[in-house]
Amino acid sequence: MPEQDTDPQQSDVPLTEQWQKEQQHWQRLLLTYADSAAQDENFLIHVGNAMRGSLLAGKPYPGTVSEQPAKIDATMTSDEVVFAVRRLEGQVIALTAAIGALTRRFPPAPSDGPVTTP
Amino acid sequence: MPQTVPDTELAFKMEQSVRARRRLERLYEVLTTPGHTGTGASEYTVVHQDNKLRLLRLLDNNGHPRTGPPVLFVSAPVSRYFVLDLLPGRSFVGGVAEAGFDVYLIDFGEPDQADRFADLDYYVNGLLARCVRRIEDLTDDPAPSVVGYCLGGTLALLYTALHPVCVSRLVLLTTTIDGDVKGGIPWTAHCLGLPGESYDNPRLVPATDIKSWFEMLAPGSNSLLGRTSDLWNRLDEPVERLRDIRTMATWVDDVVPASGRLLAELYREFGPGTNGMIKGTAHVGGQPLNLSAVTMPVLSISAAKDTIAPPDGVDALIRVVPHAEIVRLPGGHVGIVAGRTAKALWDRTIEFLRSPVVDTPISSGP
Repeated sequence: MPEQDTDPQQSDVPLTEQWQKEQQHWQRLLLTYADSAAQDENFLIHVGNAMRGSLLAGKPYPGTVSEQPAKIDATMTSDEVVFAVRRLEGQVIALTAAIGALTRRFPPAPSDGPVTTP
Repeated sequence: MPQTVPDTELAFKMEQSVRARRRLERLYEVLTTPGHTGTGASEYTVVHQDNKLRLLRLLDNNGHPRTGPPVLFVSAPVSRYFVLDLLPGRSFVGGVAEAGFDVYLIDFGEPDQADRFADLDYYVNGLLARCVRRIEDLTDDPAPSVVGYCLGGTLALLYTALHPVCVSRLVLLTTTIDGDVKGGIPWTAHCLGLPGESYDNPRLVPATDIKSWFEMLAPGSNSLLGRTSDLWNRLDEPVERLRDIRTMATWVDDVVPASGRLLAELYREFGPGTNGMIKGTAHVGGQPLNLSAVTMPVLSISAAKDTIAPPDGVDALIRVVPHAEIVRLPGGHVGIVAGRTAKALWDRTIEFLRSPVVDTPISSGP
């Protein structure tokens, strides 16, 4: 952060002197920005976001970085199959949970011993 | 003889210069302090994963799960979940947990290309239903309270209508019920004649498109020029306030892509013209939606200055769920949940969650 020294708007100092001091403040401020931009890539991203009116931290404002064009299967077959598998996975999770709940609610009766066939 | 600048003019110019410099100094200070991390503020453990979804269970100060009545928070699948858990001391879910509830929070994650086929049935009867099942496994409570925010509220209401015995209380926050009410993204898109998403040939709707829809709601103030000018003027505010704005920006400006099929179905079932929630014509996964099955206590909260979910469209819940308690709070869509005045909403929600459930006969769903 630039040095926060005396306020250049001091009534007892001639205006021209105040103006010169103010110019020095500006130079220091711009150097500080330039230094931070050179040292920290994130700072550049944050300045870029601010120039778009956003204080979003940690990533560029949506639309400012060219996104990789999404690979879309022309027939949609493979993506559709992948999602169908995901849907099935979810149903298996639900089924497993249901069986688990039933097992806890109705534990298997203790058996007397191994069942043997005559 | 060189021309000199009159003192009054120089003084004015210097005043402008000092003001602009101080704004940039404040901006520098804000930009060089760590911003929001893009995650929730509360300690949690992941108790369930399903595709990209994570079900988070909040922990107490000793890192243990709480034992109070379970409450499930459903965030909107088109935005980040952490608006409900923004900062220590400014966390809605954290406040509810501190009040003695066993809090669960859904993070829908970020869908990929294959997830563009995810429909309402998948979200409501799949993801949401399995979260409730998991909570029952963990707590032996078959009917947690459910709190839905924005589009998460729509999912929560649909789930409740289809599985009424699985929800003990329902809270809807800024959830649009009447799609014909002026305002909001679907209505604006309808008026502009935008083509809308395709159900049969869906795309993964990019975050930039979703962002542009929000910007469409207020074309002047949300334009690049409007936003930049607004930020420039706000740089007169104290650094602490600017850090607050930055935290909010980390949520507001970080939208996620969405399933085109989900958005197409939402528009088809509940959008302007169709308005299936009010007209009683909506279907989810082939099942007709029967809101008369929603007999448990219901609280709906709207925000008076909400441009995303216009309050009249939210309060319309009373027309289809007549016993619902309708509350309108001052503030905007995000502010009432996570802003400086959000405590009014948190307190009202906690009070509602604590209220005893009066046994009412539950009519069987279709």
